Amino acid sequence: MLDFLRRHRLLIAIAACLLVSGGLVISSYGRPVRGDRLGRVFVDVLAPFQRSATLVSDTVADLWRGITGVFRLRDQVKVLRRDLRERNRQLAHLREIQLENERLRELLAFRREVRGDVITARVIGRDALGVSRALIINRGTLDGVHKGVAVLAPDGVVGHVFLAGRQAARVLLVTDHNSGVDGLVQRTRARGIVEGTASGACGLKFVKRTEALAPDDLVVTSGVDGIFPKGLPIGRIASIDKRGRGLFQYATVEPTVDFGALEEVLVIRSPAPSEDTVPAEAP
Amino acid sequence: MRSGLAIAGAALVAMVFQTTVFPRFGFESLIVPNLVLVLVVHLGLHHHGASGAVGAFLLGYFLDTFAGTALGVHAFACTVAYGAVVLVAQTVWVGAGVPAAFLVFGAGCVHALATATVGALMEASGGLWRHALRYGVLDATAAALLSPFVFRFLAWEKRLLGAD
Repeated sequence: MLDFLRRHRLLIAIAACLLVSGGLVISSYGRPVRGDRLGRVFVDVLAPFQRSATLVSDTVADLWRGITGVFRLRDQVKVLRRDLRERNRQLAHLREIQLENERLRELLAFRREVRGDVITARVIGRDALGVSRALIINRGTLDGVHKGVAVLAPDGVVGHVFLAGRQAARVLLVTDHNSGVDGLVQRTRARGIVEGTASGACGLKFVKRTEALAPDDLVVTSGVDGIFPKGLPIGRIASIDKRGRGLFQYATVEPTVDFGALEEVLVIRSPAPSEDTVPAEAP
Repeated sequence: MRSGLAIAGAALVAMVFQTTVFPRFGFESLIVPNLVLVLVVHLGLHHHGASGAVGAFLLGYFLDTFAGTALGVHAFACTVAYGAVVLVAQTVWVGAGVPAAFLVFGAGCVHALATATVGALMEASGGLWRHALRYGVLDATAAALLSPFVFRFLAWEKRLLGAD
């Protein structure tokens, strides 16, 4: 018997363990509480180790959460920055639209004041070199824009078309030295010719010495050249020169239009028969 | 003795990991590596005696203390897994590394199967199996106790009838 047990001790031990565990299962299954002493001992033995391990793992978990949080925040910052860039781009676009809207409103109001066949045009280019002062607009002969017609802005005279293509035209500004507009000093009604200068300003020539010009006097179109309607602002007198011995005096005129900022203009395809067109009051 | 202490220490560390560390770092309740079972496999590979079987049983009991509600389920499953590992180890040489890992996987499957079987048996038929097993064990014990008498009676009968 003992020999049998000795030879098969492994099988017997396994069978005994299975029997004991089966018995344990049967006796404890479905019970809501357990009261085995060995289990309590195990729980008590393990508890201090679990406390320490929890402390350590809490610290490590916090550290880990911090590290992953930093990476998550970095990703969020990336997304937010991209979003901000997009918003800024949209804002700039909206601002651009708003400004264009304001300019077009102003142009429309001015267009109502100008009598004649008027169309709006967009500035699509500048002069290729700095020698002459000119613009390129997106209207040409297909739109009824021919050479010699007047080009205006809400602030005053821009110039005249001197080369008209089918879909675009070049506009010679009043500041170009080849340009000349018949002008009138609004306050004194003294007449003269406004010409461009090489420096990019304008000069008022052929004004009688007896005329009392003053700085800041507004110079407007006289309407007698048949191109520009009467009373459109050209510029303000900046300085007066009477040093010559001739019959005339000379005045430097600062244009009322900011040509560098022009984006839309009005083109008078054919002026109204009556010349008293615009009540001129410079901006 | 030293080996037993080493196993006990390893079981302690394994249980600390299973109960506190793994659940904290992404191993949610569904997947927690059963390191205690690895120790059972170790016993099955290196301790082919009654001490190994008792060790597996105690490791299962240890697992029962911290997993599940029914006492004995993991003790039973670990003992079954130990037996399976011993069977394999006596047939095929298993060292360490990948073969041992395969053996741990197999033992895990056996453990899961045994656990599921015990659970199913206990849950089925409104606890009928529980009664059947309880009385079955009692019956078996009683039969085992009476078996010497039965065997002697059979032998006496054979002698009486002149059979071999």
